[in-house]
Amino acid sequence: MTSREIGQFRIFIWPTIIFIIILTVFPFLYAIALSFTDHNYVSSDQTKIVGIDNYIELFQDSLFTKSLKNTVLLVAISTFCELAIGFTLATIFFTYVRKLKKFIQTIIIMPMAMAPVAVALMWKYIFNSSYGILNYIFESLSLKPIDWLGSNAYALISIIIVDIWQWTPFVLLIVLAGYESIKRNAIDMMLVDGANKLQLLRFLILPRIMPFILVALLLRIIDTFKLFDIVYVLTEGGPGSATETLSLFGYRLGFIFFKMGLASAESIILVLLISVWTVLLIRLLKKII
Amino acid sequence: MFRLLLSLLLIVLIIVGCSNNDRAQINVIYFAGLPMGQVMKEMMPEFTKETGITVNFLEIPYDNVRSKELTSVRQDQGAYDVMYVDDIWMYEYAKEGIVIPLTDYVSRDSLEVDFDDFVDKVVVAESILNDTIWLMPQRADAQCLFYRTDLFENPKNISDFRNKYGYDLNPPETWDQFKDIAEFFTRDTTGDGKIDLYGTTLTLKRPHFAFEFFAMRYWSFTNSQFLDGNSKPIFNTPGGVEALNYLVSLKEYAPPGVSNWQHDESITAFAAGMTAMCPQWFAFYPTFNDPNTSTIVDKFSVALVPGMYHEDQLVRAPSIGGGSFGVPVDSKNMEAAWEFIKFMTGKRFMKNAAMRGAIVTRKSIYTDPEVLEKHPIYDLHLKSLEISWYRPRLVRYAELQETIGLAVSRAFVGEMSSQEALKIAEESALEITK
Repeated sequence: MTSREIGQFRIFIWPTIIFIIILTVFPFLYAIALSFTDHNYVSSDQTKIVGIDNYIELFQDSLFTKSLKNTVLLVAISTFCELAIGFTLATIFFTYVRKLKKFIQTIIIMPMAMAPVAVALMWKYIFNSSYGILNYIFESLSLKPIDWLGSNAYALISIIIVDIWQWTPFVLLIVLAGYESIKRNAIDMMLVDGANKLQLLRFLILPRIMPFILVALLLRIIDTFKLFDIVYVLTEGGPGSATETLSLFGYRLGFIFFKMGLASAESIILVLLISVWTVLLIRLLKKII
Repeated sequence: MFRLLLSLLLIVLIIVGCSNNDRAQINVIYFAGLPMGQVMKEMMPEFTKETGITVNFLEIPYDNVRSKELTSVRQDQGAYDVMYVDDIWMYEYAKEGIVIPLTDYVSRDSLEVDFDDFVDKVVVAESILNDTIWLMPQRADAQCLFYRTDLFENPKNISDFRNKYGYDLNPPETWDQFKDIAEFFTRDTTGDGKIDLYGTTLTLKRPHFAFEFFAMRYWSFTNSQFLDGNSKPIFNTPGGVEALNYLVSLKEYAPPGVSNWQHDESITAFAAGMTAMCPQWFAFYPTFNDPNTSTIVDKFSVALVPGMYHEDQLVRAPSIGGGSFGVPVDSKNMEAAWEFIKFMTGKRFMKNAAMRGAIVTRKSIYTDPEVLEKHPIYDLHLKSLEISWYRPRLVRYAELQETIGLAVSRAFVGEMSSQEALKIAEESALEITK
């Protein structure tokens, strides 16, 4: 590439950079600045700079700490289950499914193509304690029906079930792409050399698909940390504080109470949490690749 | 020359067209899904014919109305000319200068408006603050008790109840009787070992459902408000704890899952014949009375909510609710907005709405023989309105509601004791009201 071409290239890239600055960098810096103020969007009171008071207030709020705990729990369990189930399904799919591959693939990815609100409404009926199909199945199997969304013991589990149902296909697709990148004859060669299935998995498959798994993990962690729609429709954080999550807590601060300073501080904490995980996983990914 | 004339004609037409549209079109934001909204849509052509004002009617879900209205005004967008304002938002809208005072408009058109015709309690709840009229009341609701007449009038139930509790089976006067009746009707009617009839519905999804259905019990148990005259929280008292403990004790007589129920679930359960009683807002009366949405048409009636005795006086405390119309400070069509408000809160409109089962705000409609003949139950609704209680009035109402609603929900599902939940809530409330 000549220096003239590089110059042209830079000119073409500038509009994108300007857009990113306007749409991402500026709002982010603005949110950081706002997080040190007591700005209320509706109140006619003068906005004051309050230093780190908003951050202190958040960590003193028992509902915030509960939402933090719930979010970490939700991310850990959902992501782990999605990876485990997605990996297993992808392995079964790669190994055994030969016919109707495209058709089955289309059916499998349907949940993730659905709007989260539609998914939540559908599950609201499924979870209904009196009329829901889930309790109907439980009762048919002589099991005790469960108060899925109404008890603090099961409400978070219900949210996790919905998230797993919707996003496992996403993990499956990514891991399957990893499987597809392995040449079939490489597998055949290892089998001819006398490797058993466990060795095949340990020495050929896992090293090849690990970058794909990490990408899926990264995207699912970021997404689950921000989970909002499903919780909002199903439980709105309740019963009690059983399903209170960081994004719901922030929504309430910002769009119900209009406490923009506090809401910004909460968002910065969420961004920091996501960033720590992202940096760690990207480093791991780089090491593997 | 011809081209010049044609151009001039076009310019004149455009200017005339634009100016006409500017003057004659208003944007109205309203709470979706109300019978009143349906009546408004049907009467809109009549309004346009009479006034020449066209209306862009935006119906959006309740949860989004307040945030849309407040952000629109704070951004000075002038997006709306008429706003729906829930009674619990009035204080915030007036104090924060979201809506303009309407006192001068009302005085100017006093004959047409007949402001004294509005139910007194409703005016205080949804219209006047510090002697200024901020909003014009359109919907007036109050909590009441729906109950199944087929169950209450069944001779076997009457004698069984009398034998078990020692008094007659009637719509409950007190919350203690309510609990007895709820217990009595919670049963397995088919003999398959599963409970299929429950005593009562409970509507306790946090925050505002939990708060409003706790409030009616709290008020009657304590005979006092949540805040004192100086807006200091006073709800963490033995009476408050007793009221919350009472609510928690009803859990075993309600269908499973009620801690996550909002109006929809509650109404569906009662309309499906799943419960014997249903404390709810009167506004849902048409839903229970409609064969398309209810299996209990002609099998239910309405009573005042139960209360508690305080020095021989029975304190029933239904909450008042409803909504009004206000003109936002950034409206570009205030005069047209006022015309719309006058029409949609006027006697002609109100009568039409009442005949269709909507809840209205004018005394004359509640005493109108034609309306009472069609809906004799409106008499009880008026009584309920007259004894109703106001929810706390403060700018940060949403935060207080969230705080108390969370406490109710926490105690109900056993996350903590009623005492502990109310103690935490009062600490937060002190911060909110300071």
